[in-house]
Amino acid sequence: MQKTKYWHRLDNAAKVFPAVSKSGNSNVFRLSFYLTDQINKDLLNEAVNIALKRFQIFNIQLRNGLFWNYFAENKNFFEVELETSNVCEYFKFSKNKGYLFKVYYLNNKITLETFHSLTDGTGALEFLKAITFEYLTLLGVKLDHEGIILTKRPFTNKEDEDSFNANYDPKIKKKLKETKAFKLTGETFDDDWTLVMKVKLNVKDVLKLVKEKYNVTVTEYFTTLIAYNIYKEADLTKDKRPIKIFVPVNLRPYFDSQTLRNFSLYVKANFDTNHKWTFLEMLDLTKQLFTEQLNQMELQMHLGSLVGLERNIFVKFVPLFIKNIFFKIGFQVLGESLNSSSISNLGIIKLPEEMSKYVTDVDFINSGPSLNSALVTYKDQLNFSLNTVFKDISIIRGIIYQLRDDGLDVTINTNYREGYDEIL
Amino acid sequence: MKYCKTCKIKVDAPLETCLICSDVLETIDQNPPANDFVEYVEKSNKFEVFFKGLLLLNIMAIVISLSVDFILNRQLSNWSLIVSVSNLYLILFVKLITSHMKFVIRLFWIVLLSILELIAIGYLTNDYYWALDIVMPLSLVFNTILLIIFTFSKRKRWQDYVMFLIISAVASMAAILFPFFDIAKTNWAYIVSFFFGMFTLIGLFIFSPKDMKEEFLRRFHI
Repeated sequence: MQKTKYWHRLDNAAKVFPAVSKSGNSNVFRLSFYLTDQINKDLLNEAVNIALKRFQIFNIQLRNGLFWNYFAENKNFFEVELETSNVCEYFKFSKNKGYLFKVYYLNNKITLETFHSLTDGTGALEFLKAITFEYLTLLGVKLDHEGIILTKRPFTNKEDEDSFNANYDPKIKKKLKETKAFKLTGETFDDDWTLVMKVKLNVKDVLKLVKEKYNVTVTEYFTTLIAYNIYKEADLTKDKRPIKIFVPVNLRPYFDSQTLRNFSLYVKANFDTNHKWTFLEMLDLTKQLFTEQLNQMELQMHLGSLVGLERNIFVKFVPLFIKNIFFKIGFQVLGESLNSSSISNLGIIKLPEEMSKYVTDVDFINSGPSLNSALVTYKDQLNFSLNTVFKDISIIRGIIYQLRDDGLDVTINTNYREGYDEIL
Repeated sequence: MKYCKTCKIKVDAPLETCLICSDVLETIDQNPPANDFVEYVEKSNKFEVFFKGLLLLNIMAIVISLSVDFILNRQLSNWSLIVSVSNLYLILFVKLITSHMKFVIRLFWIVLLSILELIAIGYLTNDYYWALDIVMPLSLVFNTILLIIFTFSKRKRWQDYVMFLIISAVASMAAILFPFFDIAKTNWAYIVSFFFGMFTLIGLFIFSPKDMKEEFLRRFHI
């Protein structure tokens, strides 16, 4: 039976976002499915509200407690909207019936934009899969869910678990030491508009390239690609701090978690800008850094440090409004300056076979106050999306040229239209 | 689909020139370009402009009235302070009335704001007892009644309103300190306010003990 009254604490990753999110730093990410036909708004509305009944972690609103925020049930009817021009735009929950996500439709595309306090890419993907499945079912399509659509499976408490706390071991932690990173600067677009460049690649070609030519993983290759082009194109003369690429890591496979809430940490690829780099040298270092950081013990220690801080008795009993002031100051001083860029790999999207006939393409777009990128693989295509606030696209140009020079067949799509540089 | 012969990449977007090198794109097939994003439309910010204008006018009114008063009298007299307080009230009132909070919650804050405004004007006109003795306690009672109606008539919204109801009831009770410390001169309105607040809280625990326990667990969790 579904609960109608429920609440839960914010997980470790979710706690900071409500205090530090604002226009221009929305902490919202986007997932889209392209279908074969135009979207029917009314049916999509119905589909979202059906899926919401099953997805307790989305059917919530953010509330203030004395010491921490918490999520409480949301009984409002959710309404989908026509997509807007700004990708991953900051939104006020009070203007969205309290919900922390938005569902948009545009032509044949269903888009889910999720505030990061709610969940990470894995959780959002499950929700979008369920919405699309329910939508197709409402259209009259007979589909077999093959056990991978959550609305067709019974609810388990494991989905609602705070896996950060469930896997916390107070004895295993390390001291986190973060230094500032090289920061991309430049003229930005007006009105918080960001430029999206979607690079479509053949997944077999990419795998052949990374395995046979470079002997690295897809994420290692693209992480290095970004770092190397920042190194080549950005003005490093004034800012000598290292280039740091932030790479989120899904912790579920490492800790056997089924949670739909946030459960990811990150690894970082750091490159000293005083060193003379070649792409291959950078790639070797990325591989080494990933190997060092991507193991159960390292991740457990990292998790321990973050949860340990949250469990500190002084932190616990500081009233929320004071915590929020500290979050804001901390984020202003450090938050935006700890990374040069980010890349998130959602992996391979698996849909029930019959359903996949109706879903032609997938988008995964990340936001942030700099250059952010994301990878997603669906069918035989790997989509690499770059999202930037800067008008100068020389880094993006360098990345695309390098992909082309590595022998890949590159197709690009963008939200840019002629004349935007004059009005934005 | 189009092609950029300079960059040697395909472009599947409604563009005539390449975004990367500005070269003219060649059409390579008759398939229409993907139109996966919404064209930029300038956002309407009429209210923002209106509010900024209102803010500017009110700041001007405050500065001018305080300056004129000070220049003429070499001190600040009540009339300029009344103008300033009223201007501040107007700004906050417009901000509250146009906010996206729920109607009842907006009303709750507007009543509290109005109480403060009336007390301030009362002090400035050296006749604040009507505001402090009568208006304040009865407004707190009014707020509590309003919240009781909304909390219990819309059970689905119980969690939305109950914390405001508790705050309002506690404030109604706490107001008894005003006559207790001789800040207010008339007692009857405060006694009404105190007992109304107290019975509201008792009523909440009698009618919804589980909900109240749950609410405290949620709000005070560590």
